[in-house]
Amino acid sequence: MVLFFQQLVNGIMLGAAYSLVALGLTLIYGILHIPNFAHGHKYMWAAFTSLFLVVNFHTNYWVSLVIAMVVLGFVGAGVERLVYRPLRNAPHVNSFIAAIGLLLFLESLSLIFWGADFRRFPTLYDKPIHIFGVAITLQRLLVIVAAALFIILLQVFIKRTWLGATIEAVAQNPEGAQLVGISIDRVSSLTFGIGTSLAAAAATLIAPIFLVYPTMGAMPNLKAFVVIIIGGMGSIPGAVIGGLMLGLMEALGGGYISTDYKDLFAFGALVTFLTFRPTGLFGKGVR
Amino acid sequence: MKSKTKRILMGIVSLCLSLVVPAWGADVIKIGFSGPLSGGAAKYGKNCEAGMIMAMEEINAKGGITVAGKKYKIEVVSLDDRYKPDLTVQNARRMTSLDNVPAVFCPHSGGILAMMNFNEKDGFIIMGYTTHPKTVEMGNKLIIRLPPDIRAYASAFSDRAKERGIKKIAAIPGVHEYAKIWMDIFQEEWPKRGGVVTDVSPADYMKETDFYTHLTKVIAGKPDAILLIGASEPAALIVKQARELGFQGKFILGDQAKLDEMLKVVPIEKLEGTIAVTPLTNRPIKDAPTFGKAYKKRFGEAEASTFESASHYESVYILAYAMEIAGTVSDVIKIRAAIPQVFPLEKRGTLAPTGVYGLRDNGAQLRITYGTEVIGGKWTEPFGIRY
Amino acid sequence: MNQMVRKWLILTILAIAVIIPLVVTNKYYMNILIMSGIWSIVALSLNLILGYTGQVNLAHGAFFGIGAYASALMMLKLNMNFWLVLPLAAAIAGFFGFLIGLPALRTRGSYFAIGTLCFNIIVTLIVDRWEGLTEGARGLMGIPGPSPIPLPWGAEITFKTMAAQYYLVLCFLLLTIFVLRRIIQSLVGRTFRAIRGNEELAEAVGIQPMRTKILSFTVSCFFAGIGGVLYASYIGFLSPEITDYHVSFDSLIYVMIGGVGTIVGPIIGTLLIVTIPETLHIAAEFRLLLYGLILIVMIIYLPRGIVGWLKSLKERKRKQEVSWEQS
Repeated sequence: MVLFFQQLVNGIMLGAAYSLVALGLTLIYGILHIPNFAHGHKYMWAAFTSLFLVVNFHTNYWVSLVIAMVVLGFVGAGVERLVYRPLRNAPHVNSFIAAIGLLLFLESLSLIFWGADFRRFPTLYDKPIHIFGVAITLQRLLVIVAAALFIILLQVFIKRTWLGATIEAVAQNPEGAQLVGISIDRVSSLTFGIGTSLAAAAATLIAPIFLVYPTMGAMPNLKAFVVIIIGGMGSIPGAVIGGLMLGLMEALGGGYISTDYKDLFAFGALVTFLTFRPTGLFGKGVR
Repeated sequence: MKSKTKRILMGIVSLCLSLVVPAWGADVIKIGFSGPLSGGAAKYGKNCEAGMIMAMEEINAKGGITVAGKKYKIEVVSLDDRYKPDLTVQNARRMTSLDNVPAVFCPHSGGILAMMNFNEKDGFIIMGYTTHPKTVEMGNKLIIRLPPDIRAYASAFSDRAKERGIKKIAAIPGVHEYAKIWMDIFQEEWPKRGGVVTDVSPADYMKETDFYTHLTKVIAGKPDAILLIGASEPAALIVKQARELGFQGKFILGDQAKLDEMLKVVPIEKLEGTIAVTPLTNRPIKDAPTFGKAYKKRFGEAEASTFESASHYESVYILAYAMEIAGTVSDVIKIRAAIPQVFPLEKRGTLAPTGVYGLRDNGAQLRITYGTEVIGGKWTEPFGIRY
Repeated sequence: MNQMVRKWLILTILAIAVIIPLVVTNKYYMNILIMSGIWSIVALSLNLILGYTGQVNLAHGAFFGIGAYASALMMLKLNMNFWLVLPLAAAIAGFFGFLIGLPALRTRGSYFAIGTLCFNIIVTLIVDRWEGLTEGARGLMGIPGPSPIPLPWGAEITFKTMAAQYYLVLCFLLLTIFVLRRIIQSLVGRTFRAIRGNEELAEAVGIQPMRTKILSFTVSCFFAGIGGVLYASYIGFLSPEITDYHVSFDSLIYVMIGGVGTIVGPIIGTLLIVTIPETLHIAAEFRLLLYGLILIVMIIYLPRGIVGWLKSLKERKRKQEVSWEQS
């Protein structure tokens, strides 16, 4: 029974991590219909940024989180302006290619700057707590709590603020939004910025649990895509539920069936969803 | 339009053909290296390359080598193959055609096995850093295998584990080919000591970062020790996570995981009871600490010398001396035949930090290697593993 | 382009291609040409589903790998002859294409892309972990080259030299170009392009999109499989990375940079990208950095690839000439 609860907790934590990364992705996709393949690499850069601050300037962990979010927010907006905006009216495949180019660029830049070493993120929160025989470190709990917090904040932002409303407007009807004077350019930059800062938050929260290295973003990137397809592209609750589902599937499937084929569950689930319900659980309509 | 297309096509063709003209720098012998210099395994590739560069610089600082009366400097030609065998093939062809290298070093079995298809035909020696058994079983006459035999480690560690009263071992091996071979051999050796393997839960050491799932499953079987087979940093992470989950048993580390690298990530208290390969600088090979210091001096204090760099360092020297003895820089058959006469390296005033002392006929290098335990928060005296 | 001029141009290039092994004996250059040939076949096949039918397929590496592994296993474990294995393995790849196409092609655009990407990952995972079949990460080695072809007068064509292997690849490249061109210019090809243009409209005029897309996808995978077989017997060694999605990404890049939706484009793209990094003899990370940058810049400013850009230059010149004549 303990095994089950441990795997359950594992699954929730994994799920929270996946959701957080997927949140940014789904926001960007929902508004701009661009599956941002380079998302994982911005996540990686965020981890390095906060690592750099904490190790070299001894910044407080939470302060470096905020700084990383801001910096990556600007990077995200910049990327939108320079790379994706010119491709807005081009066929979708061009955005994919641009994302792949961006991915290569970010990864090699990281290799040049930071080297290929796996680095450890120093943290204060790695003492485990035991609840009902289940062990979980404070950092992992933080991930779950923070993910929940960010989700709520995001929902509030979208539904209750004016800026959030402009984003929703553009998502639902770009031409209509333009007619009432909303600048698509501004909204795009804003969305990209927010989406990327969310990834930055996820990265800084998760980095102390794992290691930081230039290719760390590749798998989270792919898994995030699985999450948003399961949950439905553009849906925030979808990203959360999808993330949790994926995390649980991996933890329980891996624990009880086979760790060898653990990843297969994720991608198998995706193929199943694509076949039978491509819009995902909460997706809004075709494509 | 036609002339424009034609011109562009001509331009492309001539660009392709105008590739680097063979650099006939007078009296330079080039040695090739094709390995992962970018991407996930970049650190591993650069490690190997570093050893070669150190050897090259030392040799040249002493004036180079003298082959058949002529003096030669050594140059290491290093190309990235991103761990892809077809790029290794491409690089090897480039280095043998354009740089006339007598030997190509490669640190991954994919590249080595791919090159084995044509190295005898094209006449170059493969200096392969891999534990893949097939490399020395195929009868290829121009291959040298650098690392030690996995079976030596697997049996020595099994013996030691038995002495420590360990009966049940669970394993989290990597999914890469080296790990699978290690696991297979261990599955043969451990039962011979009356032990039992309770669980095998493979994990991708390169891509995964959360091993809770594997650990929870494996710990449920209440093993006395967990066997980890994979690179140092992920292994360290697994140790850390295992302790977080409350595992209090011991660890056995496959030789890919280096204790000194792991200590950068996890404190020694968490490694209590571990049986592993001795860090290079601790081996009672008198050359090891010397090499370690020289390595740090050359590449920076933060860099730890590893088996890979040490082994590549030695092997560049081995190649160089073999050329001197054979009296040729291009007749690879003679060079290969001369290699056994190179040993012992100490006699020539060269460091042998991995303790290599000979070569088997099938191309496998011979050395004594050492294992270590962590007891009471400290490394123990190394125990020798001979094969 | 003028028909006569075009014919002469093609003949010249063909002549050069045939003469090359007699002039170039350097094994390194030959290797590059052979690999370019193999990757060109893969790129051309991707172009069918991507350029002409407008579906972004990111699983191409998987089918290339399936062809490669199928042929290697048949030759190693069943001792079958290369010439028998080649069409069979390609057919297997095509068959998998058909199977995957059935569910996948019901989705569109980004969903299709991501779905195919994930399928690719599944294939790589299975090839890696199903050791009983594929030897997993240990790889398959000693894959034989093509067996000699006996000639009527007692001699035989062997494939031991690089020149011979070059000609083999060249033959298949030409075959691929020929077949694909026929398909594209036929009625079927026109339905592909109709779907690329506007799927709903195509359906309105009586084209059955699912059938057409599946056909295009299957043929595309078949040829990818051929590329795989040639790769397996040339390199002689296979490991799971050859099915990896990076191969899919690479083929995509060759096609896009060369010129999507054209016959020549993928070939030029492949040639450029396979050869240029060899000349850019700079540190590995810097090379990837530049590569990424070039990709981004190209896709924004030259989205139809190099060939597309050249064609648009021609268009502009023609319009200029027309307006001159009118003035």
